[in-house]
Amino acid sequence: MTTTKEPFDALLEWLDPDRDKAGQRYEVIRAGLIRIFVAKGLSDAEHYTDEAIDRVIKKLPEIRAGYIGDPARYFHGVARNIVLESGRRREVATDVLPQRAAPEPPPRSDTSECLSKCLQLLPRDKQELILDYHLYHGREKVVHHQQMASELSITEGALRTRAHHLRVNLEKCVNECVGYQGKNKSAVESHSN
Amino acid sequence: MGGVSTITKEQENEVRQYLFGQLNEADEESLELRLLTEPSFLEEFDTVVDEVTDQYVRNELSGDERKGFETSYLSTAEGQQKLRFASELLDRAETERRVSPVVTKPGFFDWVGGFWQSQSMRLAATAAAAVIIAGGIFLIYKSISSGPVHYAVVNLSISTANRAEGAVPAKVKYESLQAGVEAKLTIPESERGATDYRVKLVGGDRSEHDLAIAEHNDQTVTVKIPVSLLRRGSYALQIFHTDRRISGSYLFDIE
Repeated sequence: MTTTKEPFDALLEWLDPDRDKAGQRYEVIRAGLIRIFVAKGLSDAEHYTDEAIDRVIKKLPEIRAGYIGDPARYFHGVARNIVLESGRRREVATDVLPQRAAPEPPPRSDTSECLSKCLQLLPRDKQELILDYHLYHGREKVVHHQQMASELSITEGALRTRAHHLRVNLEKCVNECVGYQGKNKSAVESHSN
Repeated sequence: MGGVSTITKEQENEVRQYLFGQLNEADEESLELRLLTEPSFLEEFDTVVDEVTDQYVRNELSGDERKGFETSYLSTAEGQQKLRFASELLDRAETERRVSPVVTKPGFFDWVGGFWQSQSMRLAATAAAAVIIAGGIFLIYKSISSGPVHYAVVNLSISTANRAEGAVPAKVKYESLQAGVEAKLTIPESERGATDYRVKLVGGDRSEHDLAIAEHNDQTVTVKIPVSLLRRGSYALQIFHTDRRISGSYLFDIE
């Protein structure tokens, strides 16, 4: 993120006069932008999100006084422009602004090894819940989730949310572990060269 | 963020359509604005992304949905990372937690209990049970004497990318093989409608075997690969229409 403190403070103030609420709104906008860019097929969504926020900050002195409506709408417009520009860049395949290439996916064995490690960090009941939740598919899955919810005395919606939270944390742990292993391998390779 | 999910089925379908690139512009804008303003919707969105990714791994999406998801979400590094994680998680759940089939019709024992209350039925039921037990013993004997008949079933879709380019093969545990692998191959939409498909198994050691088609319908071709052709390693299935090979391969690994 290239944003400096003073213009960033101005952005927060534009989002909400209450600093805490402004911070929360900023986090939601940032998280939403990342989802939009990924869904539109833009690799390195965080880079494009920073780009969108930078553009809004630069425009803020011009637009702030006369802008009517939810600032999120302005962010949305900027995000749309970035998606369109990215699409045009891909179409003309110019090398003036090269498309950011997707990095090589990690080896599957790394992901598997990291999943084992991260599952071990969970308490036994949570390990069982996350694996059981993803066990079946189709009609079997529906019935299985009903049974699981009934055994835990919670609604199926609550089970879905609980499983999602576990999965988010597990995925984060696996991604960090894979990244760490990748760095270690690079370090070992560079030492051996 | 947190709490219990509040998304309606209609909203869930909208998110799905968005991920497949099937939403009209106005609805797309409305959905994206919700992503930028509602923390609870962000979480619901992520949940649906996970579910769609799981369905992709399990080959449960239609051709259009699959293509839409591949050309947008899965074309990103983030999408590929999520796909790899989902694939590992589902595989781990399958290998570590599957113990027995789910009972899909609850209340069976209540029904049996009610049935047994009837005095007049007891004698007939006892006689029927004797016949069933005798039949069961015969079937068990027959199955033991005629060798293994269980095939590990795997649903595969065609991939034009190779492994080095990030294509994720399906995984089959060697220990789960008895008679072999039953592979259900989804025919690419543009190649459907023919009656004379041919399938070839190609091993990582470049060995090739033509396979007999076990079943064929409008959307899938099923082949049974005998265990004698399989070792631990990488495999690809190639499908041919008359003598023309359909572009891409169906990838799987025996681990």
